Amino acid sequence: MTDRLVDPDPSAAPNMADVVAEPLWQVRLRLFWQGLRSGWSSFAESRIGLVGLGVIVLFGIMAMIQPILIGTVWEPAIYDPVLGYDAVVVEKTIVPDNEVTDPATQIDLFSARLLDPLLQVGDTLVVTVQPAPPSRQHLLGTDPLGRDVLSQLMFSTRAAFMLGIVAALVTVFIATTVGAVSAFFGGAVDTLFMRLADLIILVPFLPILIVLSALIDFQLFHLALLIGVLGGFGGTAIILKSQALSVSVKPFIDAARIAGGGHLHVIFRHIIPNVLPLSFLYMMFSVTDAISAEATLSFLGLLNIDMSWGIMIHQAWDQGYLLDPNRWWLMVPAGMSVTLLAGSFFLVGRAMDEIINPRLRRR
Amino acid sequence: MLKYIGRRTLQNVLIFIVFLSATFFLLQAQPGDISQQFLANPKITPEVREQFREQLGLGGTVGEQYLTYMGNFFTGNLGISFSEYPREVSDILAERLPRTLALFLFATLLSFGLGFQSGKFLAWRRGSKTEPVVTTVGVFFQTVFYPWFALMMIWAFAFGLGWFPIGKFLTVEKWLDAPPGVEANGVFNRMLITALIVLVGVAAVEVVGRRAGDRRRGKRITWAGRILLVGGLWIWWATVWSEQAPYALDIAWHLVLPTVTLALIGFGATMLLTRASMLETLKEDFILTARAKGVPDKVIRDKHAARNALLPVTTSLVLSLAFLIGGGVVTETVFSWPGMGATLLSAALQEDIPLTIGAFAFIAVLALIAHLIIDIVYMYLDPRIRV
Amino acid sequence: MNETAIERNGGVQSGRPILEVDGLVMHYRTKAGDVSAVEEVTFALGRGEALGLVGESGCGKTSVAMTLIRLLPDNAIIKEGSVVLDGLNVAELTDGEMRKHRWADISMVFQGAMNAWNPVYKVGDQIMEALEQHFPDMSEAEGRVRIAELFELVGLSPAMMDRYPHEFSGGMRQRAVIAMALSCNPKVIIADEPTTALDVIVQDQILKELRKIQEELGMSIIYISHDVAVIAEVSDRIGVMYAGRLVELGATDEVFPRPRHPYTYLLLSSTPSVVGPRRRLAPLEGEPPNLLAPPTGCRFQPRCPFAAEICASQDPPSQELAPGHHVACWHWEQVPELGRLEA
Repeated sequence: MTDRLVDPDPSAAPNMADVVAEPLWQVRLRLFWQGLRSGWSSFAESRIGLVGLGVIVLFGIMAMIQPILIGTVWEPAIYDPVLGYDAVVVEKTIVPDNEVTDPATQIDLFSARLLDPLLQVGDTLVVTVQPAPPSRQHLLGTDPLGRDVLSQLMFSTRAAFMLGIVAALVTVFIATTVGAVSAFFGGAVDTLFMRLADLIILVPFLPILIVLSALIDFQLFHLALLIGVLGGFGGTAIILKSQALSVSVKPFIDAARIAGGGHLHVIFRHIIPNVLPLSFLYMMFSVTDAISAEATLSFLGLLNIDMSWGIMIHQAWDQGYLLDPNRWWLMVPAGMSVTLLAGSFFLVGRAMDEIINPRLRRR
Repeated sequence: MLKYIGRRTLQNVLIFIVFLSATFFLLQAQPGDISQQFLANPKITPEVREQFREQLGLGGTVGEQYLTYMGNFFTGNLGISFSEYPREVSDILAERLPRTLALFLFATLLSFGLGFQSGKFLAWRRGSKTEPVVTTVGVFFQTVFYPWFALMMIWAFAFGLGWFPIGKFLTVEKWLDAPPGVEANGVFNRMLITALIVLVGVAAVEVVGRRAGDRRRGKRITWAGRILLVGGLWIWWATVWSEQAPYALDIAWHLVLPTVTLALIGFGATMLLTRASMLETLKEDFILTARAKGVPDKVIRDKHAARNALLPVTTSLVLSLAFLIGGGVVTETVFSWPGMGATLLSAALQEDIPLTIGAFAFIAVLALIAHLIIDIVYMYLDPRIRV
Repeated sequence: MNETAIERNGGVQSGRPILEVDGLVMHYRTKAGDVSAVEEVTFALGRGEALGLVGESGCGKTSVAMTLIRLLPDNAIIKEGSVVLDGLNVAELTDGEMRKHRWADISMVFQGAMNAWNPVYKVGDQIMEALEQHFPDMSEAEGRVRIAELFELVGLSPAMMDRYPHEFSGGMRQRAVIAMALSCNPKVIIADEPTTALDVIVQDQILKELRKIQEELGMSIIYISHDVAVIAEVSDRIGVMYAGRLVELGATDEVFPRPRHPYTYLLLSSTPSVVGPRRRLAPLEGEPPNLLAPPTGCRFQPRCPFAAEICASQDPPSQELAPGHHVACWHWEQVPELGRLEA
């Protein structure tokens, strides 16, 4: 590899000897590092981008420490997000019907007599509470089945990340390849892929997933693949194709072809590297879409998975806790998490857009 | 122009056929056939199953089955629902389509109108101080986890403030003693027709006004037309349909919160895009020309800048269609609004294949028609592609 | 009314100038400091006269034009000086008051007129918009008659008024822009790079047309261009701008053969002339200064071949060498006739 750089051009940098002595991978690494640094300094100017990145990192930490906590401080039998159980025991005073002023310490006579018909007003009753409000053992309370909400929340973060990233990688891989290939070959190939993309854009995403989930037993990984494939052949492909098209008409592509580069060589070594920054940008938006899609499907009860943010909200809604403002911990943390994580990837994408997208670039 | 519309329509029909075929082959890939579903339902006897098989041509080759399937579809024979046996799928869909259409239509118009107007004013103000706030609000509506957002809307406006009912299509107690001629679907269809007449009428009056030749006379014609239209419909409801009117109001009251909620998710994206597009337009030379001509600022904003900024925003509406339709499914589910989306979901959950496919196909038709309408509107808006 | 209105400005050649600019100073406020875009500019435009403003890009020509018509961005401030248009000080009007005078009293043919048309409206309707604004009593039918006259005047078929801008060729759009500028019988027209984007033949046609219309109607017009040849063809007098200052001002047939400012000299020697005597071309080296921190003394001094000590320390005042010929240079006597420097 190194011999390619040996090009005795006297007009180039004065310390040519040093440069030649440096292996190519080192040069590449240095250039990559420089690009990263200048990219970062532009990115750091965008406050919304930094906020987004901060939130993503926070969720990353949450996802990572949950298994550690389960192994150390948290008793698995209690804190397991799916199988754990903890009954919070509370003593309540029995008061006459319709005179409950504080539901946390009082219970009306009618409800108490359902448990034990001999009870009277003024007695104390020991009840187990599920869902239990936040306490020192359960910082975000427990769900209707007595499971720790915080542990569920953290456990679901990992799934959300995995799903988002797999879906985004698949999207970007397909979209970049499709975009580069259609831009390079044009003609029938281009028409085929672009009509396909039009078709996918036109068809409502969620109804398709609903229909498919009626036919197929969906696992998280399948869903990630499916979202990736639909996204990759859809709108992202059109955007990346237009970028690839603007690259493929540049003189260096002709130069590479004249120098004898094969189709694949030109596509993968010359076109795709120049499309990649934009691909990376659209990866961020794909993560947002994938996280929302997964949460929506599990909210609708269409996914065959154990635990996710969507399922947490689904359960709370399904069991009628929506209209109880005292049980906020069942729905608010999970809903906020989906919104925050999806929104953060979107914000990072927007901030990157201003650096990468030639149309928006300010400098 | 007609040629263009014709071509687009043909294209959309072709897309729809591709689409149906894809669903068919997906079904084919399933183990067993759909007549074997709902074996536990005692109402569906083996004879009925045999009838199904015959109707669906399940005895023949794949090719024959395909032709039967497509033929059935285009003759309006969508089969019988398993989960709501023995209702015909087409009958169920005919009942639910107007409800989805209303929700979708009002939400789209509201979200577009609201997003466009606020984006316009924000761009015009140009204050850099408001930018982070605007972006945050816009991105919030764009990326908020929609089902949760819908639940929170119910919680706040229906439960907390009590302004609106908690979901459902109508107040059952109120309808129990309804007069014999008043029936929910009939009332709702009347409402939808009224809304469509208003929309089409306003657009028609606008076009007539433009063509009037003289600008001032055109304006008078437009206003007279609007007043006549709304006044006429008002009188019609007050007299001919007076029996239905209070029940129509009940349904309308149930429609408000789902519509606003659905509109809000589209609102963020439209607002951000309008703002960006408007800021681009304001840099154009023709804005400077208009200012030099001594045109007042308000006219520059509305007639010159916003009118041009409208073009990319209209194009993007095509992309947000899929988004809004998906949101519609969630909205209908969360608000218990018995439309196509809720039907699709419950059919899919119960694996009622004929109803799932039927509902899905009609949602696709809805999307394609909406797409076509946007195309036509765009053509009307941009003289450069009018041929 | 149209006929009389068109003739209103005709015939009068003498008397008080239609436009008097006196000591105009305009700065742009930026985060990095004030940009002095227009500095102490003084000139007058006679009735029926064509004045050309010439200079490199970024030397303040367009800023002067925009100050005259008061179409400045929000961060621009007129610090000093007056712009008196037919007895009215434009620099002191509020935006709302100015709006009534734009186009009716002073109109403009824009730089890059290709994009001066709003793509979604018919060309005729866009001219009508200006008419409606300034002649509220005019009916639509009268307006159309007026636009048809204007179209004929600039050599367009009146039927074109019901077409959209994209149906016009570049030259036609430019003609329509001129028709629009004439629509409200302005006292002064500013033509900012009126033909820059056009090919040479169309450019020539349009310049001749414009000159003809100007003479016919007796309009007062200010041409702005970086192209010395264009200015020479159409102007009675020429003003040379450099770094926000008007460095030389005089009759075209005086300044062209015998420039008195070194910048004028270099600008002219860097431009080939087909009609004049043969001479060697000299490239104009360097760039105009950064107006955030203009050079001390004479602003041209860093690039000037005649620069001496005084040039760096003191700003040269404007001197009247001959009646109507003003120059701001310490060493104007040293500036040779064109083509002599290299010899």
